[in-house]
Amino acid sequence: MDASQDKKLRVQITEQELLCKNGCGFYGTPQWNGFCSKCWRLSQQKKTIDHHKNRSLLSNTDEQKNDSRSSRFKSMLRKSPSMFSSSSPSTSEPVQSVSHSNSTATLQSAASVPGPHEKLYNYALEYFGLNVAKDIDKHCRTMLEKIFLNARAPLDDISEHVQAFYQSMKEYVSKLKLLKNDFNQGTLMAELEEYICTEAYDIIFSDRADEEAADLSMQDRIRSLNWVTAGFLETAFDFSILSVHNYIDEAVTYIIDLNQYRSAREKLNCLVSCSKMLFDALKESRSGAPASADEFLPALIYVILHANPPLILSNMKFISRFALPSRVMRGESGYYFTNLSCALQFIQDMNAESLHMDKEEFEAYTSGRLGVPSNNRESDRNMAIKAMEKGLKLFDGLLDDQAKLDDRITAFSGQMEENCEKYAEQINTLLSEHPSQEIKEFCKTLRDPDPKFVVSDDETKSNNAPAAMLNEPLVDEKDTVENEKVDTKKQIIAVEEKESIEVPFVEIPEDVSKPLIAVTTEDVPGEKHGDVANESNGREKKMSMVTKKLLPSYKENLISVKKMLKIQ
Amino acid sequence: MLRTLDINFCSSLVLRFVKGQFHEYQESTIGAAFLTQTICLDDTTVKFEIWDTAGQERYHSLAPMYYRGAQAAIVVYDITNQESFAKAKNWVKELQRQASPNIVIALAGNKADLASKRVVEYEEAQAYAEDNGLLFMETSAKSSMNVNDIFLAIAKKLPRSEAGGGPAGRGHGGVNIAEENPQSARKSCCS
Repeated sequence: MDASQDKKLRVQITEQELLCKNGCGFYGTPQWNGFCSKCWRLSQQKKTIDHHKNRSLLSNTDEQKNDSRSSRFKSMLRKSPSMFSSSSPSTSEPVQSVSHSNSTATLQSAASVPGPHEKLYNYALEYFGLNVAKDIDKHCRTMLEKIFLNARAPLDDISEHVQAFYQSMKEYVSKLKLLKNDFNQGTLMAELEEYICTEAYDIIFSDRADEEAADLSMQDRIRSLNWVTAGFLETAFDFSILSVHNYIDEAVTYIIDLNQYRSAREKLNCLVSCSKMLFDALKESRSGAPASADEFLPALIYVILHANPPLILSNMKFISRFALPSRVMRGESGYYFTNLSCALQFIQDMNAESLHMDKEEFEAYTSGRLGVPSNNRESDRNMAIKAMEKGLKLFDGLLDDQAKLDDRITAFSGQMEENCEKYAEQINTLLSEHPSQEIKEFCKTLRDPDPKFVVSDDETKSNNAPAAMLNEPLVDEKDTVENEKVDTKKQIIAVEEKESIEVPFVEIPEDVSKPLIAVTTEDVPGEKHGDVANESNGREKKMSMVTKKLLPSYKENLISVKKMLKIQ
Repeated sequence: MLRTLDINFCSSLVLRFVKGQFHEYQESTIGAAFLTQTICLDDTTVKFEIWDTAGQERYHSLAPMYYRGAQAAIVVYDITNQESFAKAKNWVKELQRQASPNIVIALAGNKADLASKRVVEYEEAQAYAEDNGLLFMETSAKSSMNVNDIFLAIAKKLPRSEAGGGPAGRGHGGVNIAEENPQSARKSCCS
């Protein structure tokens, strides 16, 4: 493997190139990019300073840096309001150099602190023994040194070398003799990848001007497209469920965290966790139905627009350049990585057409000329408003119910008065048309023997009928509810008896009972005289039901009848 | 790659395949977007990785990202919908033009249980499949008719790929990506 790589790395040396590139007169060496030792050191120092500048501009490992970065973004926004701005950041801006472990320091410290290097070494030691472990370690260090020496080489070239290195290491390992049987090549390769990524991170994580600019313009674009999250993506999220909000928040956290990890594996793990949160949110929103890509991709786009993850393009490129190919091409992480690429591509190309909306409307929203309609806003604020609206609706419903209840009460009391009047009228007619004997007998059937009746007997004779009637209900009043029911039945029986004797009067008691039924069971069929006997059983039942329901009102009715009679 | 107009039926076909009949191995149950399934074919095992792609028109331009490197694709149409058959034909054309040259393409006429509402004739679809060198079956996710068979047929037709037959690299010139498992098959599904 080394032969092929050396061919690519080695600088062809000619007579002229033997001298230091700086023209200082000393000889240079290919290892120092054609510089002499002194000039090489100077150029390296300069590079380190540049490097620090770039790092501190972009990295967000601590709050302060984050602040300075965001303020720089703001100034950029002010400078270039266009959403398509791709102006490269001004590197002349004075930036405080932040303590940042430089590459060589990390390499040294790796030996003392247990990290990916140790893990790789121990794993190799366990399965292949000391010699191989040392050998693998040596290979890795050689690779890392090459990366450090070619720190300014195009990242794609470095990526090519690293991938070739992975491949050759894989072949190398597969030829080794195993000490144990349960060896997993994937695990060793994963450790190897993590070691390389972590150690060389400062160099191989893009800090090149063009990629930095791409990141910034992406961030700008996402910011200007933030309004799209307000319902234009047609995600399957049900924002009225609280847990959906929580899942989305988690997903946002994961995708932002992705930037702070140094190895491709950890970065991809963040992406997978983020995706799983989205699936959970979708599952919740769709009442348990598993989501397909039709729901997942819009959800991922939504989260990216919502989170605006820092340096997302650089992170994506880093993963595709330096992760093991099996990670990005296959498996769960490969699938989600492909989706991330698609989502970013979609955001990059997003236009009015892809959102199914008017071109002018799209531009108006993007430039901020037009506010996003509030009913489209799927935000927390909207949740509160929704809750309030819900409450108001409930209140309205309650008020309506109350008004209806009021109406019913008035209607009922009106009916009661009517009924009372009818009662009074009918009793009056009854008394005036059939005085004395009839009533006497009627009362006898009802209350036999009744001492009070004897008293009233004289009164009826002297045409004081109301007094007689007054006595009867007074007894009723004393009676229990049960008795009252019995009374009603008795009345009906009495009616039947009367019917058989005196046909013309049948109508009267019927009429008395009719309005009572009318209060509850709206249509009582008009009874025919002949059917009365047959129907009386059914009616009895009906009556008892009705009376049960209407007992309180019936009592009131009776009392009011009595009162009216008294007045009369 | 599964392609259909009816979103649910694509997912259901895959779910039926993964959960319905083959119980031996099940990895991811989180959604219908990414699923894996291992089946035994003769003396070898084939691991299917089923990738679903978003089927909405607005994401169509992103589809190549999914099927790049796929070894097999299933294009699904609905036998009760003529338009879906026309779209399926377009997908086949696109795959033949843009996917890796030795991709196995299968055409599945889904909803075969709704024979009374059929508008795409079996013979018509079969003739088309023959002309274009596609695997063809009519399937039903509902009754699971032919669902396993189509996946088995794909597994049989896949080249017993040696290391070189794997998907091409993602733009790393000269990087040769060896398959960890030579029998591994990848499918993307787009519904």
